[in-house]
Amino acid sequence: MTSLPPRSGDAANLIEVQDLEMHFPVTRGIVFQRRVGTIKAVDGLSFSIKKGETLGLVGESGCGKSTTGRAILQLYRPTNGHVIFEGQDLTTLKGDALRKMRRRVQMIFQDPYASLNPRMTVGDIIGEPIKVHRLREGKAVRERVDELLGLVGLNSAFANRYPHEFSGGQRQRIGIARALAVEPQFVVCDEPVSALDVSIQAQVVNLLEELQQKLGLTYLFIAHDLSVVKHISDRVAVMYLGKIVELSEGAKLYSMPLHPYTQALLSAVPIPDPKVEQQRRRIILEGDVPSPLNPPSGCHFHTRCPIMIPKCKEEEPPFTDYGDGHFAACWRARESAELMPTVARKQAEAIAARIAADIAKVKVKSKVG
Amino acid sequence: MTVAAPTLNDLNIQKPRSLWADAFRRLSRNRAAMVGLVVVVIYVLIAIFAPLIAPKNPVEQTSGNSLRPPVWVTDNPKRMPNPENLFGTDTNGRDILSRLIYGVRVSLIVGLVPQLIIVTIGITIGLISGFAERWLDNLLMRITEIVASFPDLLFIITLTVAFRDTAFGKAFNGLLLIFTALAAVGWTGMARLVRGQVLSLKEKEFIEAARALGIPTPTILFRHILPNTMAPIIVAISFSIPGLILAEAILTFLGVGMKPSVDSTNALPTSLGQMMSEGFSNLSSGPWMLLFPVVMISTLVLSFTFLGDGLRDALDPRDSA
Repeated sequence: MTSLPPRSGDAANLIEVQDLEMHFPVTRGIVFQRRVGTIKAVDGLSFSIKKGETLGLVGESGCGKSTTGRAILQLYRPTNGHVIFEGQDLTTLKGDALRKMRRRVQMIFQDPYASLNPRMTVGDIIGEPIKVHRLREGKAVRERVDELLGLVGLNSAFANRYPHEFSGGQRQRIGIARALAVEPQFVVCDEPVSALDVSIQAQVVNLLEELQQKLGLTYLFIAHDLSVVKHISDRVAVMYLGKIVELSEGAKLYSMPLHPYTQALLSAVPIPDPKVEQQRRRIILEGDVPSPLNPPSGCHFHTRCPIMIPKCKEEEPPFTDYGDGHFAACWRARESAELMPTVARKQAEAIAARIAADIAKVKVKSKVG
Repeated sequence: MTVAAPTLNDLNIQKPRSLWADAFRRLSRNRAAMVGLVVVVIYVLIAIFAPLIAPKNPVEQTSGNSLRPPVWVTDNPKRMPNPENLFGTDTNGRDILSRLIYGVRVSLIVGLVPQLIIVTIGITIGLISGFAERWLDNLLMRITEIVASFPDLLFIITLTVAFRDTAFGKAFNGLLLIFTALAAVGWTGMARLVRGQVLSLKEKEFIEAARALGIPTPTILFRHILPNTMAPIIVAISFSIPGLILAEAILTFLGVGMKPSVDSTNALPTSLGQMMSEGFSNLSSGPWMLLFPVVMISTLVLSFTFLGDGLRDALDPRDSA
């Protein structure tokens, strides 16, 4: 069977996800419902995140990355598998025990316009969880709200205002302050910058990094943008159709991608440099993502893979360590690097350099502005 | 000289604007809605202060003073107006102006009391249905559909006829029975509206955030979901009130609504529907008996409709932004 990443027993792991499955039944009929199929949004994920680490989770829309985040937080109850947080299996918790656990793991949402209650003031939005969990009483609640607003770089006078009076970036900061209100250790960031202007994205990412250092947070950072993930993540996992296809330390994934899907994703990252763009040779994937209602046999990716061999159709490739914790699920992982066009690899290197340079610039800018 | 760029802190100069305050500002810019609002407020004041405003007792009959035309109608020498009765008198010599004033009272109560019942039932069923397990939602919605598929008027008439001789049917000149009947068939639309709102809100990220934060379900329902359904509920109410007022008028006109009262101490002696019914049977001898209640009820209904239109425009535009 598949060899899995190191699990259980490693004390450094804050959270361990084992064989996580999230299947949604598809039903027909109004009064008498019959099950006509199952959407396997998340289909057997295993990974662990160390304390203080950031794991980036990348994939195109519909691959199940947001569902993974929600299943870890028990917002959706997983169909199968375990989520071990500090030695406790979250999937077995119910009622009050579950509510208490919610203090420890939090989520930052994608859409800053939908994630704040429009009828509540910012102070109430951030203060409510503090009151519910009795972290502070009376006047101290308001003081804590002011403190949290300061922490995310907002003026504490904003507490009396309503969400619609803020810009997207400011709203996202409010959402971050709300998540931090319960003093969590683990935060799922569900595409926290995807809905923001590019100029604001860097500010929010930098804020998240600062907070991580200050508060010792552990992140699962979900995104579809490889450059953002590269900046913040220690390790990166690439998802395709409900499964992780590649997992590695960040720099390695970018410089030496093993899975053809990762290679294709990397070849599509835009570089704001005409010289690079001229030489660009993208690996263009044929067709659409297959329906998770009826996933392909064998390797899920074989329908679109440029280097597919007959074996891929029949057998699912194991998720194997190809050295130093660089995992990939591909029958041709060892050869794929050579099969990858040299130009594309050069580009991947250029991308890495470029992203590093961009980040340095943005950091300086955000300090100034 | 350089001018300092405005900073975020300048926002402090402005007062915080809640969505409600914003909506009211938009409403106040809508002329038709403001006219509607003013008329409705005037009617409400008339209804509240009816005993102080009415020049006469609305049920007091004066012999030899029947069927007097309004004071400005002086072209018939056989029927001269009585200067004491501004809008004339009816067949029993009762002052029409005073009866109109009390009639407005009943019409507004008919618009409000069943509405209150409708909103209570509708919100309860809608919230439960939208939030509960699928089988309960299904059960409640099928019941709602069955009630909604009754022919309304026929159902109300059957109900009022069946109960009109009981103590319940006689309470408040039969008004209590009308309230009950109107509410019994009227709640379905509200329940569906609230359920739809709940279903769409439930998927919003801020509800998910509340669940992720461990906010208890009742708090989520009443602090996060309910306040966000209020805008469409308010609009629905303002459109449904004229319907109820007209329904009462129709029922009473058909003779199955309110009973006429001869008790001079009765606080709810007559309704506009009853006056229309009496006026219709005396159309040739005293057309003013029909004209005034019709004008009153039309302006009332029209004002509510204007107000409802304005509220919809003021409350609906995207919650965010």
